[in-house]
Amino acid sequence: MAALIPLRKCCQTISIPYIASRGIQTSVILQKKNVRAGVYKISTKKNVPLTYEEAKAPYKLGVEKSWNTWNTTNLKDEGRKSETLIEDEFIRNFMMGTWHRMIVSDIVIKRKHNMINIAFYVNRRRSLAISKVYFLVGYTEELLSCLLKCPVKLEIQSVESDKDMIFKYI
Amino acid sequence: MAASLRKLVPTTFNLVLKQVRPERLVCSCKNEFISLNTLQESLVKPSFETLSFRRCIGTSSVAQTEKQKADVVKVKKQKILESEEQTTETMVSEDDEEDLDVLYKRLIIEVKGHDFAVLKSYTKFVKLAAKHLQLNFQQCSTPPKHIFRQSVLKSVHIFKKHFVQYEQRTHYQIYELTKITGSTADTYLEYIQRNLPEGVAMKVTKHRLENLPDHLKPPQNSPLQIEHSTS
Repeated sequence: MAALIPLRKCCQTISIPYIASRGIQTSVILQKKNVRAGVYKISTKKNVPLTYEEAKAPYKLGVEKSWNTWNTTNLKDEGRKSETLIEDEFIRNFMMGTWHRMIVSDIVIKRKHNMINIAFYVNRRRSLAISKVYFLVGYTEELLSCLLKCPVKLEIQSVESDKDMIFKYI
Repeated sequence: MAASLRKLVPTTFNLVLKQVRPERLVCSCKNEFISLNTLQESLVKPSFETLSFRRCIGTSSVAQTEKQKADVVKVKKQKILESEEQTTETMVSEDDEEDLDVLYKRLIIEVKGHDFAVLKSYTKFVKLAAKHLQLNFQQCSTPPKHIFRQSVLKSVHIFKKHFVQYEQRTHYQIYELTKITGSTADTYLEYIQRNLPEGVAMKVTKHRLENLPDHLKPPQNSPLQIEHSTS
């Protein structure tokens, strides 16, 4: 779980060299204007759809938004950061390839002991046949378990169409 | 569930002299206690004093399993501080010597995570499980959180005056359980760990009770003289 939260209030002591002596903006409104990473630009016609994950900015992580990977590697005095990260990247690439065009949400990877749970939403219509979904579930679980050497479980929820995932229009 | 667990827990008892210092104690867990009246008929010499963990002299209490008969009281094989009358009366059951359960004085469970709300709900679950198994849940403390901050340049090129700060927070919770047997501890810990939420790490510290080593002997003419039971 990448627990990186951009700091909203600069009231605490910051160890930036020479910046502290220049003074820092502490008001929240001005701060929000300066945060542009992960924030979509509002269009003139307001017809750009956004899912819930896309709509919420990264500074809302932990408040209105949750992480896409859940593991203990980034806790203090806990290890295996790089291996877990690479495994996550591999799993995401694998899923996008195997379930091409069928996944409509972010892929959530949860790690409990040595088990990996992968959760996402699937578009029922685009998968063309329910038996295809069942086959892919078994195929993914088996292959990923062999590749990652630990039990892998898929937690799938399905959605009728892409429109069900839209949170707001920008 | 507690009743079925009790069957797994083997017998232990504490028979200690009054003047014994707590470091030399062989403490026991108060998992099963029978009133003195029912025991007095079974035991030949019931007049012994027990010293509990907190050094207060309580009433005599002896734990018994369901499988053993009334007269047999289990004894640890070497170096238990006992009163002199007891050694003659007690009998050791040979087959149960090997499966004597380990006794833990304290079980400390440290749990850490990124989200304090998750730890709070996990605390509720841990306390509830301990309550149902009737374990001594001593206390639950919250050490201060640890924040790791990184200041990073906001722009790819120049603009040294503008930084972005990221931080990683680690929240802690410490649960302490006292006076627990090995099998109970194993069961409880397995249940707790199976339901550990993802993104939460756990560290368990067990404080085990051991017998005094053979080479340590109290001085002569002292009330702490040990009677070696030849079995």
